[in-house]
Amino acid sequence: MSDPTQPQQPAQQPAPATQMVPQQQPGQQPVPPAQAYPQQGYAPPQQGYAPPQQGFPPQPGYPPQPGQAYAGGPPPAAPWQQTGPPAGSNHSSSKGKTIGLIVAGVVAVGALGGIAAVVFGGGDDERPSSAEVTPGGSGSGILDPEPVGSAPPQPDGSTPPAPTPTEPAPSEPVPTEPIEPTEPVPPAPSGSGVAIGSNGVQVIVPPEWTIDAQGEDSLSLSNGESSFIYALTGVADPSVEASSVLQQNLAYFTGGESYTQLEVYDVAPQEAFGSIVSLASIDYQALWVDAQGSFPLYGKIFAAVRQDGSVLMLNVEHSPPEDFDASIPTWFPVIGGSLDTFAGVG
Amino acid sequence: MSCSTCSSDNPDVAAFCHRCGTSQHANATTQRSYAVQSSEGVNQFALISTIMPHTNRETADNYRWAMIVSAVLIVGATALGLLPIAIAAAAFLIPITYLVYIYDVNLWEDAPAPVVIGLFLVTGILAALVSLVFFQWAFDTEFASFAARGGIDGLSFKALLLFSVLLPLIAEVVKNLPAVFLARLPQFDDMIDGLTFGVAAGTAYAAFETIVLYQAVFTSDQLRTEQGLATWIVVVVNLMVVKSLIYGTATGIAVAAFSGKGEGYDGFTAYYAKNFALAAGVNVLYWVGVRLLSYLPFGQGLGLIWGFVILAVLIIRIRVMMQAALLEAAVEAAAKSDVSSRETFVETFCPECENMLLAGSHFCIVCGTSVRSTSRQTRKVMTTQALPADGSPPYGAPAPDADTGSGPAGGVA
Repeated sequence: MSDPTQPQQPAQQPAPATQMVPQQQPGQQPVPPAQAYPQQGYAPPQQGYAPPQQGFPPQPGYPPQPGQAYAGGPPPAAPWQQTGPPAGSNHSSSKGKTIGLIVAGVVAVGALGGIAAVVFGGGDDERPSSAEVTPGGSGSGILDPEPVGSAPPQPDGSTPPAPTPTEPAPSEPVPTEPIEPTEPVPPAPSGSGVAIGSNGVQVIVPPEWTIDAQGEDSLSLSNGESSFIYALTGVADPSVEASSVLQQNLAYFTGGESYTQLEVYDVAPQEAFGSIVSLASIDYQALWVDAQGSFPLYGKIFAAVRQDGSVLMLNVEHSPPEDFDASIPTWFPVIGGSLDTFAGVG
Repeated sequence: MSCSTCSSDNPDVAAFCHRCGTSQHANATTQRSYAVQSSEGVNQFALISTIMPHTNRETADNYRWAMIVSAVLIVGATALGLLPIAIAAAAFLIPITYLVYIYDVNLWEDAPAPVVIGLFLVTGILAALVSLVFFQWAFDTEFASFAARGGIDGLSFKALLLFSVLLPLIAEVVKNLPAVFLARLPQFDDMIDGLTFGVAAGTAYAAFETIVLYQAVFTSDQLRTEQGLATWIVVVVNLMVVKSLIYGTATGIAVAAFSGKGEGYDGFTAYYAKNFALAAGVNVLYWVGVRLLSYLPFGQGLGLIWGFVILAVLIIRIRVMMQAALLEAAVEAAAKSDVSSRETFVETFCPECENMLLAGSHFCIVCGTSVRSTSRQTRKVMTTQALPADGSPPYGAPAPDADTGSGPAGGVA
């Protein structure tokens, strides 16, 4: 008769009870399988593990239950019963199968993503026809709008080459220096004017637009229809070309870490008017991304250099890109009005 | 010797009480090993054993390696600019791993359809709908305002409330629905089941939301991106690990509270409400932090770090919650002399350390691992080896002529 307070030993197990159940301190690693029962090493049912003939005696507050092999050992096994320790592992799959299933599943889903991109991607790679937007002293703004993707008219009547992306030139934003305005700022043609910069450049803010943020020489506007305008002013040499200002400041506008898949199109010189000595614009397309989501957007930056060296840069962005043309009437009053005022013709 | 907590008799050599899991050593009160995975401490940041409580040390390594290999492939695809591949794979890495895990431990009780459909498909469809409403159909302009210039001064308070407060609250409700439905079923009423279903639902929601929110990479004319890859790597790691696991663990906590610590499920109690509020609050905290940090230099990276901090808190919270539940339920059962369907019925072997598990055990006397954390097939063996005196199957065991593959191992709720 064995000591009823000791756990029963599996038959034919080499280790005595004191070795099978080692003392363990808190935080101590449990006995590795190799020290107790070899991994996968317990004997098959009915061979290496004999049901205990005598278990623990019933405890106060814990009566033995019918069918429980707690005291007196289990009843004889029926044919349907499983006996002995669980065969094999705690899990259904082997190591290789588990890893293989997961990696294969991930690769398969990734492949589906790639196929989806091939099937759905690149459907409409035509850029909006916003090159038609030309601010002028008349404030007419949109010159002969054409369908998306149509070729804009060229001064010499030739067909322009396809837009080619250009690498943005990293540079510092327009330097600002305090200057005195050379001429009084005319009243805003429509909407109120907000002065920015030490040179008092006016940005026209129509009623449907709201000011999101205003800095010393910048202004951020939105219209609640996914169009956003950012105005920045500074001072440069009056002889500098607006196209050069655009190239030098492009990275300031599009170099943020959220701008990816950036496509920058050629700088488009535009006809100067009023006191503006040089005017140009540049278009770009990007995929804006952060941890919460992403969306494509289309942007256009205008740069104007005035006789006194004042520079006004106006950046309009809209999402989605395919709606950029449709959004022109909503944002052109800001762009056109501000440039007219900047030129002193508004 | 008698356990000082539940008065159950244990062998003199026992390191832990087989009934309540209390350490039998006098000096063992300072640091307690985690009852789900005894080789770890309770307050240890261990991901696999926390979100996959039915794994043991050996099998946890399988999942760990699978996730590492997959993650390396995904980051590699991102670095090569293959964003459609990387985004799709990153979104579904954790759900796929979890699906294999549920299959591996037979958590779905040989009835995979309700679990897979309920957790992954229903949750996924709901996630896609909520995401489309918020990001495309109703509030696309507000979301686009996050791209507006002007720094944090230009941050729209309305957009912040919509996408960092309201959306996480609604999402948490959606994530809870299918998981709570499953946790009500008798065969899935264990707290560990609730945790598992919550994690599965949360990760499924994250995956489908990710596909909707980053659909632009699938429709872009750039199959291979060459610009902004550093940002994309940070975003992909965030989607692959942080977002998915924050969603999963937060919902897991809520649904585990729904299940409760003892037999049967507790339901919509104050304890559930408290933990649901915690889950929703953590999601709000995460997104508000990500949004505000994005205005700082290296904001995407800072957001990733912030997510890891939130995730670490959630992991520890789950472990403490699970530890308390397993021990308290065992002590309660011992005090009431209850016979639980979750204990062993014959002497068997601990899947964790492979030492003997006594009959009537809730815990291994050697390593202290909870019997409830063993896989379904192992528990099935533990609970079906002995015949009652009347010849009927014991608790939860299938009848001799029944299909042994379809009965609830957990048995009577």
